[in-house]
Amino acid sequence: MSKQIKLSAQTRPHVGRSAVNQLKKQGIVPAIIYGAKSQPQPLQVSARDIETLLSHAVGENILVELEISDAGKKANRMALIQEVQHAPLSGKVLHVDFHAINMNETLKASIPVEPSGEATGVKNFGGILEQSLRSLEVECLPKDLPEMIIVDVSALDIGDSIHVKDIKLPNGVIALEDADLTVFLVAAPTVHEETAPAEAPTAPEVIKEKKEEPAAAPEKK
Amino acid sequence: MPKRVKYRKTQRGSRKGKASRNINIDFGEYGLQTLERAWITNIQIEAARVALTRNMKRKGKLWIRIFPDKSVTARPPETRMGKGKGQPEYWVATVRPGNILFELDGVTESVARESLRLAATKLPIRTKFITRHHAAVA
Repeated sequence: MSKQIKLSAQTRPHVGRSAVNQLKKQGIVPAIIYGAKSQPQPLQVSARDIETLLSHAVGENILVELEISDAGKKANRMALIQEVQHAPLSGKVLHVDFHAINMNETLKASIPVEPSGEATGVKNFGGILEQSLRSLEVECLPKDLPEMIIVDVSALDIGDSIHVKDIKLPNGVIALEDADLTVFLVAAPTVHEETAPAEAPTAPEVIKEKKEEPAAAPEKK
Repeated sequence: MPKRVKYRKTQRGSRKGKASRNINIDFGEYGLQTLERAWITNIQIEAARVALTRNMKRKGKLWIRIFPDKSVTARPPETRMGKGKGQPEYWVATVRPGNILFELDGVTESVARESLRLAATKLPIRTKFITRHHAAVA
């Protein structure tokens, strides 16, 4: 089961771009909480807290116990981090979506899949372990939510693969992906062509419809 | 460069702003991200690819995430102005800060780091080495 981490948040009275930009300058990240049949509520969390939380986690679907303070009142709500928006260059957190959950109802989450061990095909024959599915969509109760799914790939030879149906999930966790989807595959080693640069470029073909030749113009006299 | 094009000559277009597409590592484990904007020529991409594969020693898998689909024209030397646009000379890919240029998988991080460093020396821009995990939670 994934760890439950406490995170303090405050209700956010101001919405809109300029208010959010002011918050970001103060080291605060805008957030929102929705779900569990309640109205969406804008929140704000400390950028430092959320970045520390994410840097210590394997994936981004983390179960958190939000301590929401609203004008002196404090309320605790369980939530799943649904989405984190990052700045493409700096990687800083721009916005966080919290999905409020009910501990007695099942939830859907995307859990990272990690290989363990070194595949025989990679170790002995120089194959490449390809991972075509990086995260698995699962359904379970919040108390059963795994932090990550570890798959033993040590028995894989060249050409062997592991599908969703081959993964042993913890009790109470159901995979929602197609059972025949490939997760890991050991591919034969690729022989790169000699490193000589590609041929000198020639002009590409121009896609052009041929115009019908006009009928011969009558001779002028 | 493309095999077939609809028009041989293109307008210069805009390179302003940060990248909004091709900003995540989607295929491999490691990637090279650009920090600047530029037109990267087909020759530079090819030189970077050669440097990468040479250092990877036939191991691992490589994805090139940019494609030079924009033609750049030039005038012959010592010609007077006018007489129309010049002929296509070379092909470029427009990159903006944040674009992923190359992705690697199936090699250790140290090999990937060194290979991408060598590839970056062939490019006219500053770049950054990123990993899948780092890209997600940086």
